[in-house]
Amino acid sequence: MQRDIDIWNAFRSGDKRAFATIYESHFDTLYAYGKRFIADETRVEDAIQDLFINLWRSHANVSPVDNIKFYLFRSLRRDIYRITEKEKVFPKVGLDAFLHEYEHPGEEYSVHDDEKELGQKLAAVLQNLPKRQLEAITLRYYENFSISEIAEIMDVSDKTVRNTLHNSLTLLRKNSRLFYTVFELALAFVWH
Amino acid sequence: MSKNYGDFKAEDFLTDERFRRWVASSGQEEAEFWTDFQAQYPHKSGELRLARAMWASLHEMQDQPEPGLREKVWANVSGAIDEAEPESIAERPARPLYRWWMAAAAILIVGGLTWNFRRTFRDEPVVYREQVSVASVQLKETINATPKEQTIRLSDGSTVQLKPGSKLSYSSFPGNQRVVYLDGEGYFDVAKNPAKPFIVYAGRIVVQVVGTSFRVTSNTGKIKSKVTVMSGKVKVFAAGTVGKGKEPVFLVPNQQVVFDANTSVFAKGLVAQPVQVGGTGEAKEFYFDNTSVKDVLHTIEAAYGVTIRYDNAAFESCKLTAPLGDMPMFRKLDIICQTVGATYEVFGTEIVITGGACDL
Repeated sequence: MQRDIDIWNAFRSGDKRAFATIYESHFDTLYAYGKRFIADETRVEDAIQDLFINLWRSHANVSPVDNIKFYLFRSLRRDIYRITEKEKVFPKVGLDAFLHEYEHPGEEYSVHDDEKELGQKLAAVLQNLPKRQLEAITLRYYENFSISEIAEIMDVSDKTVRNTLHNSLTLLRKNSRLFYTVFELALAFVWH
Repeated sequence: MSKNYGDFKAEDFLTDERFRRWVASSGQEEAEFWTDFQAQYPHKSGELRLARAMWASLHEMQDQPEPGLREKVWANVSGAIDEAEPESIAERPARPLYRWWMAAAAILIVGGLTWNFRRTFRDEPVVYREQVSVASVQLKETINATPKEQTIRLSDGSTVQLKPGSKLSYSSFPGNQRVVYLDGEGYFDVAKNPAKPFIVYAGRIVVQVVGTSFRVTSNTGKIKSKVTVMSGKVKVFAAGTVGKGKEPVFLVPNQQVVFDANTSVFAKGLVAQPVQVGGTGEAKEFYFDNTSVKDVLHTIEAAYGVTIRYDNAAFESCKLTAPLGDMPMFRKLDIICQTVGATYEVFGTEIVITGGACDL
């Protein structure tokens, strides 16, 4: 990404406007990513704030980067991991522990031919995925990171990422197909 | 087309730049290309639809920062880095730096404004304590500090069985609505009064009924809230959306809905243990003697008020003898399906039976 390389190099040479651009274009998505790990929004703000303050302080020493978003995601995840490790108090409690109660997922299917409806159903399935699976899915299909970038961000092997994605997609596809099967079945009922 | 779009699966669409521009712009950009695509590859519509739905769900699940937050954090960042760098003041020409500060200040003020604005004119509160504090009538609060369920009788004759540690605030219902506020879990048996709807504010969800019995679970700080219906009809809203055109979720007996505050998504389904509904109130006998599978399923549908779908025409002629007695509904279905070699799955509020050899 040539644009990323140029902006990053400008930032490294001390251009604050480039730094502001980097901040502007990544804050929202970093916030959404951080919220996955920390429920308290002020702590997510703090983590992002510290990330950028430290980034500026080390601007003269950082290495070249060709994908800024990747660099920031990896940094934020490491920072958050460090924070939550330190105080083990409220790390992953929230979601994982609670989802367990609702383990019987997720196949919330009723009959509508509406794409939005399918989206909501998929959301119900996605929500019930283990947290790391959902993270991998989001990084790949929403944030558009490559397999090896995801492996590095999540600190696992490429193979693990590939398998995780494959399993989740199989599940989602199965559910979406059932969605249409039920829908067609319902149509058949209407016809006869 | 340079790429082999005809072979694309959902995951290929999702990582394709043209597709991503299309969905990210809500169909504004690349519209022509994808219209052509759908005309050219109609058999791809399922995969394309899955890709779009997946992108939309993932998008839904992104937590968006409050308006003004980006500016607020930026003000902190730029404040901290300018403070920490006295040497850069000497290094850099004065004008750009001065302008830099101006920009930071302007952002801070504007950010601050939107911040307060949002706080003041926000949607109605979604936390029990706040909801109670802004109520327009005098409320009485009962906190169940005992280790057992506590029954509260309301002035209209309705009762609430409050779980230990749960709180309920209520009034004598002077207005044209019966409004109560719940934190925790309660089983509601509501006296019928169509002229005065009964409304439970339970954190992030709002439950509205006329006369019915249902259970609400909504704990401050917990992400999921749940409403389970035993009798009657119930409407559930996300807090802050009442009367704002957002569709409520309708529930009938044996249905439940789980609301996820992170994603604001309602997941509707069947309760884990459906009970018999309606009729004389007398439990039905489930003794089937040489009855067609179709009739057996129909009896279960009627007794539990559920919908069962199947596509096996043989169920009409295939006969079954089974004393199913008073075992739970899903256990009954297990036995029926095992007998005819079929399987069932629950999709939301429907039960779908597939397969079935029926060579009895």
